[in-house]
Amino acid sequence: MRDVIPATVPGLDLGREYGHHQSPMIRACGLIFCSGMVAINPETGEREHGTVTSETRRIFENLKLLLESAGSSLDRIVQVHAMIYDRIEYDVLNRVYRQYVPNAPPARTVMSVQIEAGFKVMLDVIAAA
Amino acid sequence: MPPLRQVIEPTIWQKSDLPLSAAVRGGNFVFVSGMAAIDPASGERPYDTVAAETRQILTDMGKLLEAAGSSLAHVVKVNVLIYSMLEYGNMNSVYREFFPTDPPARTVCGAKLIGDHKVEIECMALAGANGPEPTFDRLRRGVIEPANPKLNVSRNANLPHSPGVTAGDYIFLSGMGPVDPATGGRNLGPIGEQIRQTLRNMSHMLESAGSSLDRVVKVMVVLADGRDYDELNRVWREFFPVDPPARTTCALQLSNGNGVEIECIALAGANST
Repeated sequence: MRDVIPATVPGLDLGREYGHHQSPMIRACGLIFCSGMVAINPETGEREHGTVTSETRRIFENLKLLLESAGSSLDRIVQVHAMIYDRIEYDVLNRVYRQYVPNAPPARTVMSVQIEAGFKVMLDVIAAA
Repeated sequence: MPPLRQVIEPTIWQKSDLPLSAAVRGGNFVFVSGMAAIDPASGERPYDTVAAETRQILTDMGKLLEAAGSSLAHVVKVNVLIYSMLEYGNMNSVYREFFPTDPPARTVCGAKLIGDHKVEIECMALAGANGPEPTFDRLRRGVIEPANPKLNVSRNANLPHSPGVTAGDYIFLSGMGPVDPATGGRNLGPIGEQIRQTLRNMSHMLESAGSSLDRVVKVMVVLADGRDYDELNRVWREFFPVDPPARTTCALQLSNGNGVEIECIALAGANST
């Protein structure tokens, strides 16, 4: 009932890459809980710091890989905590964010917080399996 | 049959005077409030290192989940708030002792915590198995909208989120602010009034989806100013007089001059009495 879903691409296992003690995804009762995703290269695990726009793109591409490997997809996301390093980037986030969830987008709360390793964006996602 | 909502009464703890439940069972999940390092027997706050606070919290979280028929091994998602991301490693090294294998999905971020704590941790866990394990087909995903179009902030401001999304028996609402239902404009009065307005809007949103405030299992409150915490609790009691939802509160920058934003997870349908 509680299934750990491993990352199918090596770079997206933050536990292995950076010692984060977390599973990439857990599936339970029809929902998939993802660990906070940041802009890392899915093949090498290398951190790809950039702008809010470039980091958000990389994050959505990574989430797409993970969710599709678990039989879900970006349009099955139900809730997002969109974390940005400064509220001033809110509109910048929205401009790129909307391209990845064009129809019936997920419920969302934008939070301005400190993010690991100097990243500007992190997306914390729950999806329907 | 609408999913069960049940407040978990932890026997190990002194009754807190905060208007929140330490944990709420909703359907097949247990939702645990943001926990800080507070000695459950004496109610004292040790104000210790990040490592010691993490240990205290996860020890108590394990006991709380066991009181709900669940356990740390049933946890599916953890959110950690920490006062400085420089302390990440100190939190992580203690954390790993409590989840030796197959750890939950997790998100860690740095934020200003209420009450000068260094760490706050919330989680969602599977409720313990009682009865046969249900099987899950693909949950139906739908978007909900408020009956009053003035409260459809995402549509009116062209923002890339839905007011709420349903997945099976769960309703996830986006973070909501104090919007005036008559005009759709911001109602930026005193903080107590902002919180009341936001909760009235949340109530409207849930009722538009056939649910209600008393079906809410988990709330996240973001205050622009942590000093408004006491006022938050005063207003909270008006809206959640009995069996309040699990809740996590933190203080962050907010948009549009909002003093508060509130997001929740609720169960579909009405309470069966």
